[in-house]
Amino acid sequence: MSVMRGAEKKEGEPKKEREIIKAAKGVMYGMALHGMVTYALRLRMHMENLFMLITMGDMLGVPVLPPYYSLRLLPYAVPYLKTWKQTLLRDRDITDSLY
Amino acid sequence: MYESLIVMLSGIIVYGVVYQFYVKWFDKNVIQTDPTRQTPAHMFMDGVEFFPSNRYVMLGWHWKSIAALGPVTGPALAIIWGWLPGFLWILIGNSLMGWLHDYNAMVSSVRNEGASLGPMTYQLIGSRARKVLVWFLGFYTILIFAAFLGALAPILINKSATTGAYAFGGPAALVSFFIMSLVGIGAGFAVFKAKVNVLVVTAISLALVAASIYLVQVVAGASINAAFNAAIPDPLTQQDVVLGAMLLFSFLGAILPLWAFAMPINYLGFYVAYFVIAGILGSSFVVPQTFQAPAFTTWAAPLVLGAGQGAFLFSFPLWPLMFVTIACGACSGWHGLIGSSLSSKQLDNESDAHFVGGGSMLLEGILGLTAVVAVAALPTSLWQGKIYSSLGLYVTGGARYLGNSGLSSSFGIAIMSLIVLVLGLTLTQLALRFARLAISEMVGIRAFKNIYLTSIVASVLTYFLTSSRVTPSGMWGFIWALFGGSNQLLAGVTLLVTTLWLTKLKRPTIFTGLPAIFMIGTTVVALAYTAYATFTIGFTAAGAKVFGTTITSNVQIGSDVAGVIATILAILGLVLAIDGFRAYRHLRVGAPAGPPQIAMPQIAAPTTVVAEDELKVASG
Repeated sequence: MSVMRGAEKKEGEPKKEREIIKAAKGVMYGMALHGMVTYALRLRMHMENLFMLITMGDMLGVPVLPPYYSLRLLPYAVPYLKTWKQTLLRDRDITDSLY
Repeated sequence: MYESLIVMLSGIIVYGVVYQFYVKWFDKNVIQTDPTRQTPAHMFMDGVEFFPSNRYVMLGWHWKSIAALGPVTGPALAIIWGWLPGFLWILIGNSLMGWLHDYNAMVSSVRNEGASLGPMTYQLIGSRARKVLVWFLGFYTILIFAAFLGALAPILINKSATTGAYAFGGPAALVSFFIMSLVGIGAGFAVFKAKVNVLVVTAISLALVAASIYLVQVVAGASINAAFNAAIPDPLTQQDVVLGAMLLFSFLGAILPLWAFAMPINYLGFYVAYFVIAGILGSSFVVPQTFQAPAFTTWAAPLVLGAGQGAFLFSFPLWPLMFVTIACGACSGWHGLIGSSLSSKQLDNESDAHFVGGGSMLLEGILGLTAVVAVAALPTSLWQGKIYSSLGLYVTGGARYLGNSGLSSSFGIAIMSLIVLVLGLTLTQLALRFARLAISEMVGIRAFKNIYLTSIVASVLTYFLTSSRVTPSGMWGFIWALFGGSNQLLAGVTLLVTTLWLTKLKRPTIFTGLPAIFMIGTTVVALAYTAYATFTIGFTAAGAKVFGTTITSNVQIGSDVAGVIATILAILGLVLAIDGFRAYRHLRVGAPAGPPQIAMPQIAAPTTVVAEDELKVASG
C-alpha cells in the first residue's frame, strides 16, 4: 500500500510541477504580452470591418464597389459575417473605450 | 524590530485567510457562480474583444493593468499620520472593500453580457446617472494626469538641501526614459510592421535599454544633470521644462496609434519596472528593516505649503483624507473600470472571477505594503515638518532595499527614478487618451471632437494643477487627495451599482452596501474639505490668517481650478448617491429602476476557424 502511495506521489509531483510552471508562464504572458496581442487582434478587426464595408456596402446603402467585384469578394467575406454583425450591433459605451 | 517583515508577513497571512474564506464563501454563497454557465467570452466570441482566456493569463494581465503609481505613492504621502494608519487601511480596507469592489464589478459585468460600468449605471440607476458618470470620468482622468505628473516632477528637479546636487535621478532619468521610449518605438515597428519575432525584438531592446540606463544615468548622469542645471538655473523654469516634456510625451501617447507609441513603450517598461519591484518585495523579506517612522503621529497632520518665508501649514485630517490618500492598495475605482470593461469579456468561466478579480486586488494590497515598509524605514527628517516628495520617499526607500542586494546607492536611486517614470508616464498617456474621449462626450460640441483640441484642453488644465507658478509648492498633497477622492468616489459608485444589481437578484446586499455608503460618504466629505482648503488657499490674500498661520503667498489660480473641480465632483457624487438610493428603493419593492430596457439582440457564437485560431494566439 505504501509503495503504491509512493508511486502515486511520484507520478503526482511532475504533474503538480507542470501545473505550477504553466501557471507561472500564464501570469508572465498575461503581464507582458496579453494586452499587445489583444490590441493586435483589435487592429485586425478594424481592418476586416473595412473589408466588410467594401464588400457588403450595398447592404448598408453605401455602394462602395460595383456589384460584380462585390460578388467576386463575397466568398472571402462570408466566414466573417456573424462576427461582423455582432460587432456592428453591439452598443459601445465610453467606458468600453479604456484601451 | 523587523517591522518590515512583520508588516509583509501579516499582509500575506491576512490576505491569504481573506481569499480562502471570505472571497470563496462570497463567490459560492452570495453570487452563486456556476462554472457551467456561459460567459460573454463564449456567448459573443469574436476572437477580438470576447474570447476565453486562461485564468492565470487573466490574473497577470488584470494585475498589471491595475498596478501603477497609485499603490506606491499614496502610502508615502500617508506617512504624515505615521505608518500604522496606512498599514491598517491597506490591510482592512482591502479585506472588507477592495477585493469586493473589483470582484463584483467583474462578475456583475459577466452576468450582464459584458456590460461595462456606463451601461450598468444606465440600466440600474438611470440616464441622468450615466451622464453624471461621464462628467465624473472626464474630471477623474484629468486628475489622474495631474496627480501623476505632479508626483513625478520632483523626482526630476528636487535638489538635496546639503549638497545642492539633484536628490533623485534628476533630468538624466528623463533622458534615460526617453531613450527607452525610442527603443520601444523601434521595437513596435519591428514587431508590427517588419514582423520580426517578438522574442528576438524583446532581447535586443532590453539589452539596449540596459546599456542606455548604464551609460546615461551611471556614466554620464552627473554631467547631464550639471549641464541642465547650468543651462536653466531657475527652479521654476526647470519645473516648467520637465512638466512640458512629460505633457508632450503624454500628448503624443494620446494622439498617436497605440501600436506605434504607447503599446511598445509600455511593453519594454514592464520588464524594467516589475522585475525591480519584485526585487524590493524579495528584499523586504530577506533583509528586514526596522521602522524609523512613528506608528502614529496625530489625527490632523499639518501639510506644509508654500516655500521659504512664504511657507504655511494647512490641516490634513486623518478622516476623511487618509482614506482617499491611499487609494489603489486599499480600494480603487480604476480597477472597476478595467474589470467591467475588459477582463469580464475574456473570463473563461464565472468561477474564475474571484481568482482574477479578488486575487489581483489582494496582490495589489501586497504592493501597497511594500511602499509602507520602504517609506517607514527611512529617517523622519526626510519628511517631517517640510514639503517632501512622496515618490521621492519611495525612490529612496526602494533604493535602500535594492542596496541590500549589493547595488550601489546612486545606481539604486537612478533605476528607481526611471521605474517611477515608467509607471507614471505609461498611465498618463492612457489617462489623457481617455480624458479626450470623456471631454468630447461631456461637452458635446462638434469642435471638441477634435482630438488635438481636447488633448490640449486637458493638458492646460493639468498644467494649472501642477505648476508651482500658479499653485503654492506642496499643493500637490491636495491634488493627490482630489485624485484619490474622485478615484474612491468612483469605487463607491461601482459598489453602489453592484449593490443595486444584488438587490435585483434578491441576494444579500449588506456586504457591498455598507462599503458603498462608507466610500461615498467619506469621499464626498473629503472632496468638500479639499474644495474648502483649495479655495481658502486660492482666495485668501497675503497676510490673512488660516488656522492660526499667516498666509504669505499671493492669490493662486491653480488652487481655484482645483477648488472648482473638487466642488463639481462633490456635487456629482451627491447626485449619483441620491439617484442610486432612489433606484435602491424602487428595486426593494420590485419596481423596475432605470429607463425602459431594450434587449440586446442575441447572436449565436461564431464558430469559424478564424475565431478559433485567434483564440489560440490570444491564450498563448
